[in-house]
Amino acid sequence: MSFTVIEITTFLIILSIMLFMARAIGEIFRAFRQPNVVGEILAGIVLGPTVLGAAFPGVFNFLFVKFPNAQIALNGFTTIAVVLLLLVSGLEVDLAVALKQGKAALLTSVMGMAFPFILGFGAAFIFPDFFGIANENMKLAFALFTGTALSITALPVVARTLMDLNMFKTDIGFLIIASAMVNDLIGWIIFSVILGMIGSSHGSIGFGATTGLIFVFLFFMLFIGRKIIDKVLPFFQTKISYPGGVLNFILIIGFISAAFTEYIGIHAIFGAFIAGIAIGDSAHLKENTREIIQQFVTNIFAPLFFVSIGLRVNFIQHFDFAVVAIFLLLGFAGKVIGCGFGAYWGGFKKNDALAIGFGMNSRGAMEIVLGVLALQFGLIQEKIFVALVIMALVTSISSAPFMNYFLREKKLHSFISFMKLKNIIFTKAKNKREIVNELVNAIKHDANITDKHLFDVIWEREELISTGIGNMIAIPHAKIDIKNPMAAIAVSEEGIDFESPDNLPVKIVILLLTPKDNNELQLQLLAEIAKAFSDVEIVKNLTTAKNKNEFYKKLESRFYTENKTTRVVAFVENHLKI
Amino acid sequence: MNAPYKNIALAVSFSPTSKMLVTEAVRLKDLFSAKLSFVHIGSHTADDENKMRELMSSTGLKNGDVEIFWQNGDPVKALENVCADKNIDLLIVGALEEESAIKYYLGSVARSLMREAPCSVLFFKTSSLPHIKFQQICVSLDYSDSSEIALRKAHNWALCENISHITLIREIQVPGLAMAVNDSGSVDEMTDVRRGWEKDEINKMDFFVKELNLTGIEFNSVCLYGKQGWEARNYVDETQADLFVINAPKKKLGFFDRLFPSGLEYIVKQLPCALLIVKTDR
Repeated sequence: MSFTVIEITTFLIILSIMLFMARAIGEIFRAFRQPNVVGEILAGIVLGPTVLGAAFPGVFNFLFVKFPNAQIALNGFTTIAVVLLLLVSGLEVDLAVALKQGKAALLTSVMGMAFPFILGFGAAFIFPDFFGIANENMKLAFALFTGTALSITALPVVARTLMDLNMFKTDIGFLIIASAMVNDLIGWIIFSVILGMIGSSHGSIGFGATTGLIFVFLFFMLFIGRKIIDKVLPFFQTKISYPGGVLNFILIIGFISAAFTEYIGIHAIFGAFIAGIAIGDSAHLKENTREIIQQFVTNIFAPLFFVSIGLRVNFIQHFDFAVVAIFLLLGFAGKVIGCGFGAYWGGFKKNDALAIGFGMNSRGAMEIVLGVLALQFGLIQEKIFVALVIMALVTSISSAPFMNYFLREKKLHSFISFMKLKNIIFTKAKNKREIVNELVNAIKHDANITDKHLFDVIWEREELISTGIGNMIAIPHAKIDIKNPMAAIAVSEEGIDFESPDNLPVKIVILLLTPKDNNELQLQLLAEIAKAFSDVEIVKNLTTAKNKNEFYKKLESRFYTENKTTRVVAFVENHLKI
Repeated sequence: MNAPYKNIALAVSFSPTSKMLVTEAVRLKDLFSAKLSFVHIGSHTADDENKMRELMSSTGLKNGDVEIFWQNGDPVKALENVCADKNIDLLIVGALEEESAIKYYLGSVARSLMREAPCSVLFFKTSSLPHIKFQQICVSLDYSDSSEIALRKAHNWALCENISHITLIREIQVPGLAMAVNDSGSVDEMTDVRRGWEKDEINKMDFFVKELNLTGIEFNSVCLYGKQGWEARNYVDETQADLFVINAPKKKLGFFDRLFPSGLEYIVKQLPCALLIVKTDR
């Protein structure tokens, strides 16, 4: 079979239109700190039967209906796209990180899977007609699918949300990432078993044989294949032209695994995902290689896949409010309660556990891939697919604001968010001892500690080695028995000798108290303050402030660059005098 | 100047590298003005006694210079018992450079000791013996109390060896970063974020050292982004450091940690140089 000129031309035009729309709407969403994938799906809805098909049926038919061969080519392209998407998703799964998080990650991921799974499975099994089962003979597979669809978490959206909240490098961030990784892996295993179930009912190899092969494949790839890849990867990375050689190697492994799982009756993407995990685990895989493959898949292939989703279904025609509402309700309740309780039992506080629950609730791309496959396999009807896509979008968008709300206390670990206006003093003190005494007096009520004891602890540290860090700044500090860090600032117009390394008189003295049991927090805050006052001109400018309010405003501008939420928390605290 | 260790034991096995290990142990004994003991696990025949005498005389040791303990049974348990009973604070062991796959998964004597010894353990990479003195020390930091003790030990050691500087290594890795940025960001953003984190860590390391008030040695801080243990191992190897100091892991590592290795496992699997695992309670 060969393509005519008009078919090839149409196919190429379709690709360029899809990429253009995906980028255009994706960028708009990006400007609002929302995931690109949301924009890409909307681009598909605009190009598909929902908008373009309804408004300009002629154009829609010319592009997406008139030339079946162009559509076949597009389908082939989107299949490769989704296989690559799952390959790179697998690359980011680090089972060692998941293991390191231990009990809390295990509880969060298991509870976060089990609870929504039971809710979804139960609801779909008892009320299959309400959920629009496509084939009555596949009731069990349908119920299992609904359970899996509710229990999946999308790692990219979670990761992005954590980054925006500046929570990536925290215990909560690590827990969420680790749990999402485990969740992803278990979710795809269950889903592949479901696909095997459907495949066996269609007359290919039996269900038992398919399931057996799935686990043999998993064992081989995660234990033996992983070791072999780890051994040969350095060869491809160093002996063959870089990055071509190693990219080639990754794609070959990904496609072979994908072909195998497709052959045994489950979808190709499962093989690609597991291959991704096996390759990504190798310590030899350069960060740069990882980034290159991520870039070309997420910027070229993934948008084509996500746009193609909107082309398949009319979202208005198949919109069923009741089904969407039930899916949203079960989705939110299942994940937030399941993961929340898991994290709580794993040792996290209530608010942190809730934040983890909402973080794990974002389903994004993974949910949509799941839905597309179920639709292709005839397991679900369009109305369920539409509900799944809407659930994916709503959970992805809502994840960040909810996490933000429940993590507001955690944000107090940034200096400016706990530095209170009332703890700023202008001093005429003549020496170190006097100024430290004044600062102790300013803060002793907050610290709930006797001033004598507090002074002794700070002075003991000061005598060890001066806390003057240069640039007219000194940071006397101590670790004491408190829950949250606290600080007070003394501004000296004259300047005080603090034996600083640059011998300049100190004009701003920041007293910093941190919890006894948190070594890293003290270092983090000291480093944050040092970074904010990295130039002596900044300090000179601050000391020109006439009063507390002016000083605080100038101080704020040094610490706030991007995190607006922290700013709001600090503003409310100061103005309500909390 | 305080010596980091005062009571040293060497596990002697009469292998081809034993003489070099004894030479090293004697050098450290003299350097730290410490007491030295030999521990031999296995048979205790007249032939063994002869071998031990030969070993001692070939390295210039006389009777009474070292105390010798002859032990039987499981090597790990026996060494642990001697260290605990005799209040040993540093156990010296020779280790193969790279472990075979079988040994790696099942756990060798050296690996078990790393996790279970009651005192600090110094592993010599047998292929790189003998040493004249350590020239370049690297210390892995995680800001914990144990990390502080490991750094103090390394500092004292460096002062004894008359080394001018110590390199501090901090490893960070944030899984999912590439994914987060690619979903709605740019390569520049990722580079900026990573550089920012690395800078923050360098600042934190500088404050960490300053807080300890360690004088007489210069400290260089290095922050590495990537798989924990693996990056540090490669850095130490590439810079040809000859002593790598880490604090003992908090939890015991199990079979699964070897299956999905992280941290210490990468270092242990292929020793870059001599490795000192500092136990915090002794």
